[in-house]
Amino acid sequence: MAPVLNRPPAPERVPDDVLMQRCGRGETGALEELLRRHQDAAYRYCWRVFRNHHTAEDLTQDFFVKLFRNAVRYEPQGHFTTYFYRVLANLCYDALRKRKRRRRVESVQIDPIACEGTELEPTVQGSDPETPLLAAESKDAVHGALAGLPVEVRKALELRELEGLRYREIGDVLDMSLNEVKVLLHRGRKLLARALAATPAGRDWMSRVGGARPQAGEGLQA
Amino acid sequence: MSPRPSPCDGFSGALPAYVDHELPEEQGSSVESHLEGCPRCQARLRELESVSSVLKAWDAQVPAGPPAPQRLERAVLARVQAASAQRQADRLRTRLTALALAAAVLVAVGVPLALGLAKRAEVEPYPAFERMVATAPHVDPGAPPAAPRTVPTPAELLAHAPWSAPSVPPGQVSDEAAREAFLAGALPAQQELELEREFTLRVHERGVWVTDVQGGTTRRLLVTPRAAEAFGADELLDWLRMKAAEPYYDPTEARPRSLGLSAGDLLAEPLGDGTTRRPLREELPLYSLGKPGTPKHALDVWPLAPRSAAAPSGPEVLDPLEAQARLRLRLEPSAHDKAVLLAVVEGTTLPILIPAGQLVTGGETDLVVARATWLPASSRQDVWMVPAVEVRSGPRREAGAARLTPFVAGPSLRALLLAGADAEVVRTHARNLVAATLGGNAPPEWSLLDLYDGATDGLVLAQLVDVVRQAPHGLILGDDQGRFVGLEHLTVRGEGATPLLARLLHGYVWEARRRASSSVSSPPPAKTESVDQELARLRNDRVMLLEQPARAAAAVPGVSRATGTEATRAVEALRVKGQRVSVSLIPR
Repeated sequence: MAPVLNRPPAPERVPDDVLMQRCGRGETGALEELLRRHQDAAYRYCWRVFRNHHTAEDLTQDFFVKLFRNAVRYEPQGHFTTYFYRVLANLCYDALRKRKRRRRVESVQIDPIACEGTELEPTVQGSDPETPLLAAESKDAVHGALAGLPVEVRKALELRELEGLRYREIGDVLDMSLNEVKVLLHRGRKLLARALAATPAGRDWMSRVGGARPQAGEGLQA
Repeated sequence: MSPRPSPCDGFSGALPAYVDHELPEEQGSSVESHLEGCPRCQARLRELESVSSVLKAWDAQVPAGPPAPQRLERAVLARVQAASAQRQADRLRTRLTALALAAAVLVAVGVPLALGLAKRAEVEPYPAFERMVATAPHVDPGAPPAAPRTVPTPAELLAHAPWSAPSVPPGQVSDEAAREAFLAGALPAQQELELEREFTLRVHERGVWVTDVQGGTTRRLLVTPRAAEAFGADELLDWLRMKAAEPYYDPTEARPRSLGLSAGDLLAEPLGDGTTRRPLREELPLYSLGKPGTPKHALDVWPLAPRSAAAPSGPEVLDPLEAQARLRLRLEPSAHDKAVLLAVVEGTTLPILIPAGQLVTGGETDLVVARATWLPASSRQDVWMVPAVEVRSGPRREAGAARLTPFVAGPSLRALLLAGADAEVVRTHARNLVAATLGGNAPPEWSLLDLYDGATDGLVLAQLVDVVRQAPHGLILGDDQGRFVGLEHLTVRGEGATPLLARLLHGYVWEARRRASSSVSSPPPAKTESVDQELARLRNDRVMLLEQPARAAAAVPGVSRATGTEATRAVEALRVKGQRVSVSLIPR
């Protein structure tokens, strides 16, 4: 399915930027229009993260409320798409992180000095980032494999493969350079292929769709 | 067979970009022609594509959208409207309070009762400071005019300054044990706190790491040891909350931001012996987020002590004009009902970013901002100024209450300058002020020194500029009348400084507009230029700064005017939506 946000706007369509500005002035009509345009995309994004209707709906609501509330600070420079995904991704993965934290009582102490100069890896706390946390309990092999990816990798992969964003846009969303995006995507595909190959259901997906049948433990070539 | 470079070498790396249609056309077709004859690359391509195909096939089972879109819409709109109704109610309440205050002012002399009612509507005083407030000369802006005070002369105050007593070396408070106790009690060694799902603090010996967990990405923000010492955990959280709410801090942005620490916060680590200063930038990669090993020093600070090593220069220096042009500052104060963290200090309406705990020099006495919260523009509520002088350093912390401790800091710089003190005395006092660790660890806010219009301001200014000129970096800001608007002592370097600079300029431009308010009525012209055009124009628009009356310079022996070639070497002008604010980079 084509990503909603990347469709070229119809000629008479009011740009999203303008709608955001109106939202910033408190016009709820503009929010209604944004909802009509983008709630499907937002809902799907949330659903993919949680694979749950109720959570997806709640988060979609939260997202639009937040969009409206922050609209006053929005600078209309034609970057609505990246703004949209940035806010959305942050919202979803923040919620996911909290959920995991609730589930995992023990918390890891990250020594800030040891991590100096690096981006902390927050969402896979206390675990090897490549361990699929949810794979075991997931009913869905692909979702499980995705859930096992480091969050930034997962975000990048989803934005590219499922939302159809360009590298540059992904870089904007994740605040990364083009090169970092490339590296992340490459790593993501590799890890995903490996994770899929590690479960029978995943191997089934691979053979059904891609025709390729990687062996367990084997990912894409570096 | 001798090892040769494989013909695939140039192509295999390009395959992912090829799959993603991110290759330039030319490169894409060369990859295609290579693929035709290369089974190995074909296999790699299939592998790459298989992941994409799996994801896309999986995505087909994701619901197309919410099952009940109308219901979702209604729910969102209801929430938004409820929030906006709440805001309106708040605003109404604020207006009513303002009306009550206005009425109270009108009849204040005859009807103290009305004032009492109005006061009741105000925010409760900060409990920790009740005792101090009771004896403080300037505390509550809404309070009835106090009886004339007898202000000690600068000489008297200077005699009471901690470093004036021979037994106490400069930069140290007398009751060191009490200070240690205060610091020890202020924050536990390791602590993790959560604030409304927004921040996690990890208190560390070298500062406080603030992890902004708003999004899935963790952003790490640094609160320096100075700030960490000066604030208790509660204040810190309050402060963070305020900072996070500032218009230029967008927690939804993935880009790490500072929490708007003042340059003073970044000044240096607390002093050990009262003399050594190590600029923090040597110690901590402030804002060095995202890129391991490449710390970006967003702010340099202005050490009053001469800097030993030469400051880095060259391409690192961020041109404020460029920042201005690039950032497209939004300058309408009305865009935000509540301005930046605002402390409106006597004699000025300029909103200035002052975290609670900061020392404000500029009045007759130095003040510590005991509490500052969000303020509607032009309001003076909610800023509690506790005099830094005349209050003796007492117990540093009382049962978890008093975390900011006023101290005897001596006369304000302004008072000293006005009293005709020798420039060297002023400088020394300024150094001592900054160097003093004191209980509250309050860094001075220099900008306020210059916001007083008056016949003697030229004199004060000339002296001040002389002090400032020792700094390798800084900004002097004037309005289009050539009047002095403000002074900042931060070096504008690196990407991270840009938001801070933007915020500062925002404040100054606002002040300049206010001063020219007679001409503000017509709406400023909209920006139509591109960033490059604007930058070019800004560069061409040089004006001289600091056209102070000549008598000012003449009146101060040994102080040269700041309008000379040296001071104006880097003078630039900013035209911001019709308003001109000149920015002078203080020469090194």
